[in-house]
Parts: sequence; structure tokens; C-alpha cells
Amino acid sequence: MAFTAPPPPAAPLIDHRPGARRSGPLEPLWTFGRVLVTNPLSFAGFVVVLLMAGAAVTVQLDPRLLVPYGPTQFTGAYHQAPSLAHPFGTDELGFDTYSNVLLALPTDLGIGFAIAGVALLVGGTLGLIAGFWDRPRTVGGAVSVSLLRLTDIFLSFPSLVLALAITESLGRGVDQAILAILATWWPYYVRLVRGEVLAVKHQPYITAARAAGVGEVRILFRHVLRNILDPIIVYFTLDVGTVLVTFSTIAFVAKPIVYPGSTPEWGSMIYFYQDYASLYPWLILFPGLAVFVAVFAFSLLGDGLRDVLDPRSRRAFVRAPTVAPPPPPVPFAGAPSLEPTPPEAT
Amino acid sequence: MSAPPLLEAELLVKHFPLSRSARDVFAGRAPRAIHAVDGVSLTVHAGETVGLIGESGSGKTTFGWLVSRLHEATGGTLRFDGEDIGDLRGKALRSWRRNVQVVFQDPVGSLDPRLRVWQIVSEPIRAQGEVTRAEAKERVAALLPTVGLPPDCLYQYPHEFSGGGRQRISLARALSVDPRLIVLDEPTSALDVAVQAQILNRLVDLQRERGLAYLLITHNVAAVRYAADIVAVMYLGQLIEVGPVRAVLEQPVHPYTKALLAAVPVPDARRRRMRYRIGGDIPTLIDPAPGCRFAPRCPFVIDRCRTEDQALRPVEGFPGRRVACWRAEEVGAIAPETLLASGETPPGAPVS
Repeated sequence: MAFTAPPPPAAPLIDHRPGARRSGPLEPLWTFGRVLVTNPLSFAGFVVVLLMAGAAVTVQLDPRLLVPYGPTQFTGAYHQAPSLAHPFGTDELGFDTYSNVLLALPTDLGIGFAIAGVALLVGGTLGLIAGFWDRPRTVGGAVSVSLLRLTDIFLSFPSLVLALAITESLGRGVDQAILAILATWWPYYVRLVRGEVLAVKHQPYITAARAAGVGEVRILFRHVLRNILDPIIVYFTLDVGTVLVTFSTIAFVAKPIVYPGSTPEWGSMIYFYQDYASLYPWLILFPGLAVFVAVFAFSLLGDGLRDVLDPRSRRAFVRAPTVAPPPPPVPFAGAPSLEPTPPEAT
Repeated sequence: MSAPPLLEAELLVKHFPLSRSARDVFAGRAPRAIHAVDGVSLTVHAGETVGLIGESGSGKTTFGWLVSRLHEATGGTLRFDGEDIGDLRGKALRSWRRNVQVVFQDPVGSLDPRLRVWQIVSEPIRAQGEVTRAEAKERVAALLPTVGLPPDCLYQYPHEFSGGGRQRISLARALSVDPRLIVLDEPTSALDVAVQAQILNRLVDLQRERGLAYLLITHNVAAVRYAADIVAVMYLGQLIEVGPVRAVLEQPVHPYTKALLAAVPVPDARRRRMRYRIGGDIPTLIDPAPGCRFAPRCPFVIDRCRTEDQALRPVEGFPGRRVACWRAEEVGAIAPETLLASGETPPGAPVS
């Protein structure tokens, strides 16, 4: 083989790790893909969440694509064990459990997202304000203190009991149950977000931004919010699962939703079938499993998201599978101190 | 001098009030405060470097923050270019900040880990005016080589850099708006020695190129010797000695300065360690007693020191020097080598 000139040392100082410099608007997606590939559990969580969301949308648009029977449609078979015709069995009224479990998907997932989402928006906004403008003897400090005392009042009740009481007083119905849980849910987000803000707002880079002349509101969004976002998103994802459990509990205890009815829901199904638990266990097994799978999937996804969102742990993931070649010797005297950090230093 | 100094601090005071417990309030105890900076007057002229040294807790950093308006002063006046900037607020303050930028001590913490290099470096530019992203990137790319960073690390995150690299990013950020004064708050103390030298060299070069003024806050005497024109020594919130850097470091006048410089290790195994040391602990900064702050530890203390505060004053025989000591003339005449350990010098004894 003929002698060829050695390759030019093209920007060897910058990066030798494949994928690490893929920047631009799609960069988070790239990393997300990598994290999923390297972390099978998060991948499973992600797939299950996607499947559930897809199924929920399908069921909402056209139930007949996935569901053989309507929520209160007689199948003609009573108390049947799971079979090919009725994968989750049937109940004493002749309703298909599989159809009802699937039909409950949009209700339950929607409730989970709606409650956690509104609580995040309301509580999170209040938490940002209470955490960022909290200097004593200022208007902000007064607002902050009043907000926190208000959340204390809400937090001083056991949230499930409070939610149950509100459900009872509001009457039956999905909306009422959602309102009841929301009323007990937002204070946690105030506390969470405020705590994160307090931890971040005294970081030197906040002072540095102030010294640069950046305005307070911009500091709040560009520096504070951005740095607290990942624990909050992770918490939110996990929280969707918690909301599902709480809602199922409330549906079980306070019966805000009539089952069997037009909108099946997992908690109310378990309530309705509880008497048959020993005789026909599949009737409560499958709605219970549905809650379990949903909660588990969201928590796995939350863990995966944490790795995507944090650039430091992101690197650990991105680098692990692609064994980077050692940096070539650098014949460059201009910037002696700019070594890329060695992998074990991160 | 006809032109006003770039920065003029006059009797700057910063007290941090201590929180009072309910018991204190009911007992009628007066609110107490930490006197972090207590009447410091210092001027920085355009293009010169003033080194501010002192031990930890002496108020150096607080003074730097006061000067860059990151703390609100409790008292005193602060003039920049002859204009009082002590009560700039809001927008006016933010746009004034283009004149004075800060490089912080902690190269890890002072860079937002979520932002890329170009976003960090262009932050002052973008805060000071409408600049498109493309323009900002261009200006950052042009700026990075001047601090010794390759121009194509725009999209990297700070954690991908070493400590020195991060401090260069910090420096680039400070330079981005062409400030006239940069407050360097311990810019090299988190770095290893080789990198310290690189950064200091870069700072000196930049000063030569751009006519910058520096307020170099450090406890590193060698860095001050290398980079500063004027040195100011701070002890417990007060300046005790100010003067040209060579003169002060070679012939310190104030007893504390002598002790501080005697404590600097000398890289010479044959040379005997200086025997002059001061004993005692640093007194508290909470509502300090009247008199010289150094009196409780000073080997040359006389009664007057304990009751009367001496402001900075010129000392005969030391041109350009101002010292806060009643016995500056006597003490200044002593060569540092002949000093004894503090225990062996009877307080108030005549020294010669």
C-alpha cells in the first residue's frame, strides 16, 4: 500500500466521541434514543406508556378497532374464566372484562395526566414565585409566606382523606373526583418546586447572570427553571402513576363513578367485583394489573427521562456503549489547558 | 490628576444584619450585624490592576461584590467615572453593568451547567441589547481565541472543560461586553499552579491589549506580585495598607502586612523561616470593638490602638503608601528579618 499522508489533525481538541456533538434542535431526541437503547427498563417503560397512550387514543376514536364489546354489552356468557373469546373473562352480568379494562384506558390515563398536569402548572407556578421572590420584608416575601402557609393548611390534612371528603361533598362524577384530587394535589408541587428553586437560586451562576445584567424574570426562566426542570419532569412522570393509584382508591372507596356504566374505570371495577375475588379472581386481577402496569411503566419512563435531561448523566449514557478512541496526541500549543475531561473524571 | 478615577469607593460599608430571635427583641437587645466591609476607600484607575489581598473572611469578596453592585452597600459612596452609581436601580443598573464584569472564584458553579458555551459567553451581550442568535454566536466565536479557547467549542457544555477551560469561559463572558473594569474574585484559586500561570498571563496580555482595569481579589501574594500595580491589604473589613505593589511586598509597614507576607512560604530550603508570627485568633466581625481591628493580635500594640481607630494615612519615607497604624513610622523602619515572634516582643516596648 502506498504511503499516504497522515490525516490532518482536524480539530482534535474538540471532540472525539461519536454522537456527543450532534447538536441542534433534535439533539435531545438523539440522546433520548441512546438512553433508551442502553437502558432496557426505561425502554420497556417507554414502550408500555406509548402502547397505552396509543390504545387510549384508539379506544377514544373508534373502540371497535380494539374492543370486541361495548361497556355494557351482553356477551351471553356469565362468569367465564379467561379464554380466547374473552381474554379477561366475563362477569355475572355477562359483560366482557377485557373490553371494560381497555375502555377504561382513556378515562384513567386522561385523569392521571389531567390531575398531575394541572397540579404541576398551578402548584409549579406558585412554587416558582414563592421560591424566587422570598426575601423577607418585601412584597414578594409576604406573598411567598402567605402561599406557603396556605399550602401548609392543605398539607396538614391527610390528602386521601381530604380528597375523599371533597368527593363526598361534591357528589358523584368523574369531574368531581378530579377536582377533589386536584385540591389536595397542587400543594406538593408548590413545595417541590419551591425547594428546587431555593437550592438553585443561590448558585454562583445565578449571581453571574445578575452580574451580566440579566433581568430577574429572565433569570427565573432561563437559569432557575431550566436547572430545576429535570427533577420536576421526573417527579411529574412518576406522579402520573401515583395519581392513578389515588384515583383508583377514591373510585373504590367513594364510588364517584357508576360501574357498570358508560365510562368504565379501573378502581370502580375493582370495587364492583370485590365480592367475587375468591370465586372469579380474574375480575379484579385484570383491572388491578392495569393499574400496576401503568404505574410501573410511568416510573420506569421517569427514570429514563432523568438520564436524558441531565447533561452530566447523559454523557455517562452516551459514552458508555461507544468506546471512544483515546484522544490523538495534540500538536497544538495555542490552548494548552483545554483538555477534554477524561471519561473517568466525570 | 484631571480625569476622575475609573472606580472610586469612599468609606464603603456593608453590614449583614443578624437575625434577631424573639428573645432578643423582648429583651430589647439592639440588632447586631456582621461588619463585613467597614469603611473601605479604594480607587482604581483605568488600565491598572489593584490587588486586594487578605485572609479568608477579611471582606475582600464582599468588597468586590459591592463594587460590582451585587451587594447593596450599607453606607458610603461608589463612583464610576466620576458618577455616583450607588443608587442605580433596575434598567439603569443593568445597562451600567456593561462597564464592570466579574469573574467568579468557582469555575464550576459560576457557569450554568444547562447552557452551551456560546450561550454562557454571550449572556452579557444579549442582556445588554438585542442581538440575534447568529450575531451572538459570531461574536463569541471571535472572542474565544482571545482567551485561549478554540472557536469551535461553541456548542459544548461547561462540564466538558477542565477547571482552567471553565475559567477561560468565565473570562470570555466577562470580556464579551468590553467592560472597563473586571473584578477578578479569586480567579485562580481553584486551579492548579500551571494553569494559574496561564490564566494570569492571559489576563496581563488582555489588559495590555484592551486597557482593562482589574480589581484582583486573592489571597495569593504571588499572583498579586505578578499582576498588580497597586496592592491593598484588607483585615477584618478594613484596609490597613495600600501602596505600590513592589514597595509594599518588599517593605511592608503595617504589622499585619508584615505577618501576612512572612507567612508566605519561600521556595528556598537554605533560607531560614521567618520567625515573625502573630498569635491569637481572628476577632469576630460581629459589632467589633472600637480601636484598631488588629490590636488584639498586634505585637506593637499601644494603648491608643485599643481606643482610637486610625484611618489610612500617608507615611513619611514611603511614597505612595497609606497605612492604618498609629506607629507606622516606627514599625515601618523595622526590617522584616529582624522581627521576633510575637510572644517575645513585650507589648508597648520600644522597638528599634
